[in-house]
Amino acid sequence: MTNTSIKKHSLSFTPSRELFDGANKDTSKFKSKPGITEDVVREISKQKNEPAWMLEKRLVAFALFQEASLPSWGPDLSDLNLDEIIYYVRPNTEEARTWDDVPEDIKQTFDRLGIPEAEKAALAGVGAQYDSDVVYHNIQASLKKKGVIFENMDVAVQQYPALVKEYFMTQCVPINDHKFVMLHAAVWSGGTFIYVPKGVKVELPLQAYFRMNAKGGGQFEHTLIIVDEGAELQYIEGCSAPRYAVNSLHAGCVEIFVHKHARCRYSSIENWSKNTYNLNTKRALVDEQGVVEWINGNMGSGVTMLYPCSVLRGRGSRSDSLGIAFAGPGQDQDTGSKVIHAAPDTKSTIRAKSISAGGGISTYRGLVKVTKKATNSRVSVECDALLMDDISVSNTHPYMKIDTNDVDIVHEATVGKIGDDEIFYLMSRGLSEEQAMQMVVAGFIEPIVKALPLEYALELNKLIELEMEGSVG
Amino acid sequence: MSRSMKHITRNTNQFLNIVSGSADVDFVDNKMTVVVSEKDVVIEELVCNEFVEIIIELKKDASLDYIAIQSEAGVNISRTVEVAENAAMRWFDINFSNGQTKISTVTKLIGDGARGETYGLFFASDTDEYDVYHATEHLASHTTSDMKVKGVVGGKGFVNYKGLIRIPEGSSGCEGYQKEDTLLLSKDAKIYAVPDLEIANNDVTCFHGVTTTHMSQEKLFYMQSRGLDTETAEHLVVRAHLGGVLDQLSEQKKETVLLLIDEKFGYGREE
Repeated sequence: MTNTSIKKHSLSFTPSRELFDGANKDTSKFKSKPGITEDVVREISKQKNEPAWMLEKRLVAFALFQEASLPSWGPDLSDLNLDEIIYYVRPNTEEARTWDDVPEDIKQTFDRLGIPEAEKAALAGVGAQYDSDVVYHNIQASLKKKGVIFENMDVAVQQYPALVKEYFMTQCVPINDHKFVMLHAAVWSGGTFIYVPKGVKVELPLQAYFRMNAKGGGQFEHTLIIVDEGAELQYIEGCSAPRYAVNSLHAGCVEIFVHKHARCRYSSIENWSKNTYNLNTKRALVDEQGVVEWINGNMGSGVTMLYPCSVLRGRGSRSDSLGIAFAGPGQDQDTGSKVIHAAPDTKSTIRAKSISAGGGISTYRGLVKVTKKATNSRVSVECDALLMDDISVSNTHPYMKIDTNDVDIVHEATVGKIGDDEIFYLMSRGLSEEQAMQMVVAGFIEPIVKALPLEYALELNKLIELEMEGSVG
Repeated sequence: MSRSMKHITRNTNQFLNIVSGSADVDFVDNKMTVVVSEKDVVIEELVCNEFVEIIIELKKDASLDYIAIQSEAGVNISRTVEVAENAAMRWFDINFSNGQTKISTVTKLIGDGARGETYGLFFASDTDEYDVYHATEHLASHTTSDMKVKGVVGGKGFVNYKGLIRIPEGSSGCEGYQKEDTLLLSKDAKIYAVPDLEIANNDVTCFHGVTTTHMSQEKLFYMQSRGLDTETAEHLVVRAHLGGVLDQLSEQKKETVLLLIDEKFGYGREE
């Protein structure tokens, strides 16, 4: 009985990389010249008709960017030519409120990725970004009535200047954080702005999807989420890009503010094409009794450097993070979670899983810092790595910096391969070797898949299956 | 030990004292080389505040227990062993040093079936600053390693612990294990722990873990409620924390370590 149901599950879809890697014809309305200069920064600001303070911020960041050097640790970035990247690509459309208004070719892309279906099924609102600008945005009327703001970041700058000015790249991720944050601050475009007022609980998840279409393009979307006192929010992000011969760059930034007693769950599945450098910065500031949950899937990109960080600054606040990274041939997934315990009674858990196959490198690089103020704190870190063959690499670099004694901390990591016994057992039940391996992998990542909404769980499973295709000689 | 012993002395103030059986020992400048070709025990007793490098070669099928109990100030030692086919190395890296201490203990398993074990204990208090590094490199197939470290930090002590298991491409059938547990005794005690894994081979089993625990009020309260005073209670918690590593030592060495613990943390000074 189980035999047939397993088979059915494994064969119920035939995934194809084409779905994510295929490009549409470039019909963009405005495209900056490759490379970055002060003029490019000014032009972006001008195109967006931004207030002077934002331009000022961009220019300061740009000046800092020029001075800063590349990180001296982590994956090799020598193939990333920052002068070849196109920093701003404006799609040939205005933002639409209904799906029918979105131009056909863009709609096709998102249709292929399953965006409108997802919205119909179980989402409270959705935004979709194509290259540098957001092309579609919608939010349920009932939420709007309660004062929930779910907007394109560019529009938010115009409409909610007070909120944006207070929260945008100030205390959470300041513009001088590191080189790619400086770059992001100089050329950011699009992204999502969410504000959930005090006590409002958004029951269905809000969603955004980011897509890079132009060749050699960069995407620098900015996501700013503010969950006010006692409010709750779930937010999901998906990302992809077509595959070109020229490298592209994604240097996004996510800032999350979780106020007193509030709760935010942030999920993201990144599936940029394999010649994308994904150098992303995500951080949450959590106040008293607040809870932040991170769910991160990193499937795509050639090189990923991404370390979502929670700063637990309020008493009793909490951070839970779940991560999965898949490094296939030519991929270098350098990811991990950071937690800074800066207040008493704070708790954090980190659970990271990685799979390396076909020569891929996956690295868990995490940091747990418990400051002097963080008495009576608890930390638990668990990393598991699966190596599919003898040419792949798995690294674990967990940093634990403990400055107070009133804490209990546990870190554990295991690295191993798929057991021959497991494979033999499954094959004796009639599965092919490839199916058996896929099944073991599916079991390995299950705790993370389970935390995702259905359509994302499906996408993740599909992607893993796709990545593993042909991995058995 | 009825076998012959060698004491290697450099000068009266700064010397390195190695007591061993049949090992060949050579000491030039600050570099010591030790070649071991059968079963042997080396005891390191060092009073030296300059950098010393110790290089050990463990021949095929040989086995060595290397016992280092450091209680002097300002120790700076780098130890490396190359372990040949089917040979077995056991390090006992035990630190009570006062002040700044830097110790690196590296095991290179270069022959098929070689085994490396590292047992570490560290005790930092006052304003001690320790830099402890333990690494095992599996440079041949079917090699196994076990690193178990227990630390206690009190006063304003600070320990920077780094551990590494490296299994490069081509070393198959390896098993690596690493565990570091720290007990913090005071509010100002600090520990930074970085246990690294670098694995480039799938035919391996590898585990590493780190924990940090503290003398919680609950633990103390429980024991006090059973009639123990604070000091005895803390002493007990420290003793219990060392289980699994302390047991690996001979009775005699264990006694030495326990006495040094009492001395370091001032247990049993008054009735």
